[in-house]
Amino acid sequence: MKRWLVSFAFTLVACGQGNLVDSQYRDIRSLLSRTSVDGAIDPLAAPTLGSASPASIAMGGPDFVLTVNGSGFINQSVLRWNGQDRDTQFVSSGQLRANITASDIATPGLSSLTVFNPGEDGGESSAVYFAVFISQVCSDIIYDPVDGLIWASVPSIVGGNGVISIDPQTGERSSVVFVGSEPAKLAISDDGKSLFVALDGAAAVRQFDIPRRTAGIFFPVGRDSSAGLMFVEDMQVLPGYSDSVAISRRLEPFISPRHAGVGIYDFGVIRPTQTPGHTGSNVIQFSNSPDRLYGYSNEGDGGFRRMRVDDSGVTTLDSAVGLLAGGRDFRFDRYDERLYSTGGRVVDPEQRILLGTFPSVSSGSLVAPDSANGRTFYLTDVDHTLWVFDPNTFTPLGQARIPGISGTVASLIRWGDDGLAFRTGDQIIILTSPVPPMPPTGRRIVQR
Amino acid sequence: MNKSLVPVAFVLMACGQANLVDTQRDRMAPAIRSLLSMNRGLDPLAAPTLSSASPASIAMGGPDFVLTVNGSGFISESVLRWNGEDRATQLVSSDLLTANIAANDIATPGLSSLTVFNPGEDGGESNVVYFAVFVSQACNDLIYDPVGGLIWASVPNSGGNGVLSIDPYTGERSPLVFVGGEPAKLAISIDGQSLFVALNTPGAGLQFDIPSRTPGIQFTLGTGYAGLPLLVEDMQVLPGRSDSVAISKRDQSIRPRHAGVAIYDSGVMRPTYTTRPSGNNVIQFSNSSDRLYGYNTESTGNDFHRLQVDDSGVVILDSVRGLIVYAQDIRFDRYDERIYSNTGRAIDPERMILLGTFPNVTSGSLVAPDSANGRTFYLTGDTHILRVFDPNTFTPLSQAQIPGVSGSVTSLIRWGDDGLAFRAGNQIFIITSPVPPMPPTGKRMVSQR
Repeated sequence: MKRWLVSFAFTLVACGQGNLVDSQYRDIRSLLSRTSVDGAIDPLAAPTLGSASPASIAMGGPDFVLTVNGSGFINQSVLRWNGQDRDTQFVSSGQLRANITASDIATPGLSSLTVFNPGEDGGESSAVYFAVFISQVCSDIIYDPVDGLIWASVPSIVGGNGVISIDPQTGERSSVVFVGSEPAKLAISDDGKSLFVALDGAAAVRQFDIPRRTAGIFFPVGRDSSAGLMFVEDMQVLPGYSDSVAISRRLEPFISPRHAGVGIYDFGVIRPTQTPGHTGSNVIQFSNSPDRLYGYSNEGDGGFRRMRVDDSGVTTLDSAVGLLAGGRDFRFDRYDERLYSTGGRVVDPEQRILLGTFPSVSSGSLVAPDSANGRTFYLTDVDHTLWVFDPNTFTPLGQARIPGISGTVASLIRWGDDGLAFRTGDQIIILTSPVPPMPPTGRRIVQR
Repeated sequence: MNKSLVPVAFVLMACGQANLVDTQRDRMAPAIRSLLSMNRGLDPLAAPTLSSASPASIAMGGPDFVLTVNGSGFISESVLRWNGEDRATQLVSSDLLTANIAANDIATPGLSSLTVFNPGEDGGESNVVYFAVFVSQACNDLIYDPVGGLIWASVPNSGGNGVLSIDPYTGERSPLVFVGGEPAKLAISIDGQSLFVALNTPGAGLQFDIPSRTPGIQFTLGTGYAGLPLLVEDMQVLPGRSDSVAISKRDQSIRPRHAGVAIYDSGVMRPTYTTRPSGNNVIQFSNSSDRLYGYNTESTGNDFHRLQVDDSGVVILDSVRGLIVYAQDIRFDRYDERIYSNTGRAIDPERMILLGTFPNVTSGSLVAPDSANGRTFYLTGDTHILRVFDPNTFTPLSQAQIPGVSGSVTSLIRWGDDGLAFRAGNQIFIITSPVPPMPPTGKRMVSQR
């Protein structure tokens, strides 16, 4: 049957092309596209999808035409958006166009694109992802599990100098609430009461009252008598507290090493004991206890530090050089109480031993651990591939390349049971995990 | 319908254009353009784009002249608009127009907006390019006298070694009054009685009586290491005083050049003064004659000082490093009582904390704060972009590129409720803010102004 059709098509092309109408000619081209270059007949295969243009789009726009490139497209090829057919126009065996509606891009997310060729010899291509992002300049994002909202710090250049909340399900944004000059790093209290906002334009911090949506206490980070003002490099709210925050401080501009020690601030007042500057904990993470803080030096000795927090302040207990090597940052997982470095390492912070290493995690990646749901997420900074790992076996479970990302990725966070979000300079990408969560087996209890 | 008309237009253009007389072609042009715009395959007609004007600026008071503007999308019906008003315009090409600008348009200084308008439903108005009408006047410094409503300029030796006043609304200049060799930095008393003038040759201060427009006391500042006279680097009249001035002195013969700060009453120096290493190159008074602020522009220390002024003179109270960094100048705002650096930082000078930073303010900019009107102005030194910010939120409100500025800009000052002025070479630019003032909400009172 197949051979007969192809022969017929060849005959038509050879003898009657001049008299063919357009539709006939397209049908024959379609048939020809199923033959190999040497004239032998290949078995028909599913088309291949290579890329889409645009590769991503801001949510909330009008209908648009999506161009997809690949191979093996035929006149009857249909583009599928999350598995649903969309009106598709055949351009060539390597290109299709499809009409995407405004409702398709009304909310943020990662959609799968496939091309389906009908018929017993057809099939569906592999998926290419398409991101519907929120067009929003921001400097950091953080998730508030109490209200189920993502908070973003918005810099001055877009008329911001404030914070906004974003519903991750709908992408709906609140209006900007002014907090101060150049909001940057964010930290949130466990109870969802306080959002601490680093103000890089004021060398200060603003404590923001989340329930009331109002800016509260403003306090300078500090000043070094010889080097000048201190700014927030990293910040963590003390577990179980709403008004106390640990701050890793930095000096600028043009001062190296920039680290200016870690301090604990209650209602904006610093406790008397701080860790020393120069070499120390540039990035910090609290354990499940407000008494234990972990730090990592990403500009100095590469040491992992355990710190004790008490009423007098914070002191460094010990340091282990090389334990977290290869990353710029790390995250504490409140369920398995491990530390995950952006370089792919997992350590037990109290035993100070390396537990495992995730493969294919490049330096500069972002990490979001979620052992309560049996997942660890890494987002590579170069090709923007989201890797999903099993934190118990350190093995990959899935990956998805997120296209259309402009600029450097930062602030990878978890939201809900399977949500993820990250940002670039002017994009906020909100998606759900390409691998479903694996509920916990009751091995551990979250102590928060 | 559209597609069927387009070929007609093409035919008309392709076959009959050569035989059309100008008037016919002009009458048909809108219809043809309209038809062309209906075809998806052709570029739709849109508003023209305006990129530059030549000249980019002009001295006020000249005769009629022809202005050439460059851009794209110009048609024979394009009209140049000067501050929104049509001017007689000639099409040279699709990217070049000329327009007749009348002497009356440039009779007073200011910043005019230029746009190009294409009529018809497919036309529209271009983006704005600004055109400056400046006062052609060599000067070394400008200062505004809010009592007399006049701008004072110090005119160098090449222009007469004197001072003159300028009406910022009309650009009218007073006759020059001779004051001495190389008048430079100016300072004015709040009551509008005294203008203090730095004389760089040979090195002295001079008190000028504004109401009578006569030079008064001239006083020297001492000598430097090489025996050369010390010069004025910065100068501020004590708030509430007409005859007393704080002077930051500089040494012509050594680095660092700073030679201390001293207070002079009617030309007599008070006995207590700050010393060379103190580093108060630029100074600003608070609303009180007791509190002076200083900043070290010469070293990497970036020291900001609070100085105490009393009858015996001036001493440094305290110093903080890094509060303002890499600035060349600071300005005190009498309404919100903050200090604004020319590099974009706003500080509380008494609490000595950083309050905020204005974005995209480059080193070498000039600053003119006006929190009473809800505005902070920055003029970039290299690209001459005037940026307007909200001083309460540190967010940008607007910006305008000032064209045709030759040389380094200095002396950005405020006048009136929304006026600004600055100088560059032999040009004095007197403009109004591209953003209207925002009157205060009663939060603070101006204690002295």
